[in-house]
Amino acid sequence: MSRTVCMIQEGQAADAKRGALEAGLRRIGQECFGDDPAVAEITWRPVRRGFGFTAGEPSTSSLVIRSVPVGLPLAARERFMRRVCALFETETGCHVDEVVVTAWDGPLPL
Amino acid sequence: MPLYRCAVAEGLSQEAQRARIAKEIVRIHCGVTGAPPSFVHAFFSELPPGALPEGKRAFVLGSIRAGRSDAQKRQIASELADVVTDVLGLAPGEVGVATADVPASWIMEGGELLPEPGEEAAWLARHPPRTE
Repeated sequence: MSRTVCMIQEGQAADAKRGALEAGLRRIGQECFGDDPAVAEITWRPVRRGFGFTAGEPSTSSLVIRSVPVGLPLAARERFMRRVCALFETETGCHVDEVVVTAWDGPLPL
Repeated sequence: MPLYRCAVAEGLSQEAQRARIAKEIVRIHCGVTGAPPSFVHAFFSELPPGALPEGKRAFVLGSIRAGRSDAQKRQIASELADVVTDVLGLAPGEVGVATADVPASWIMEGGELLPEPGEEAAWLARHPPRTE
């Protein structure tokens, strides 16, 4: 079963759009990796106001980390991550610089 | 990336202290590695008693791009432990710091794969700091 953890800033656009983002992540997982959307695990970890910083300033960044098959070819890895970036841009109106995606080989360390 | 996840005991930190630590993380990480500040994320969380490693009241795990030397990682951990200890007013040994390597090719930021350490100039030229 795939596992995705999304660290988002509480009260910001990604927090308000969790439903659409989660549906999009399930769709991307199905199309990129053949996931069963019904069992893919997606965990939201909102970062409280005053608890998230980027470049030393209050953060507006969303971080998405997902387990992928070990040794996934770079092209497939990049295609997946590009789609997640586009999903967040479309659904939240954020700038692409505000999205960080990690495609982690094997079980997630968090 | 890097992402520094800072777990602190419940009620131990105030926002101003977290902000100061976040700025120090940028200073230390960028000073040691030469990485651009825009890559540096510091996310804090509060944990209940018993959830932190024994004897610790704060623990920082830095997920950093692979390719840094052991000496660089030791320096980051040492300086960061000192800063967090000082800012939070803790006793020596109450702060733990560890780093974990993540290949740059596993990470996308700004819509592109992250550059390898030391090869950031071209990436940054395509992603100047936003002014809005």
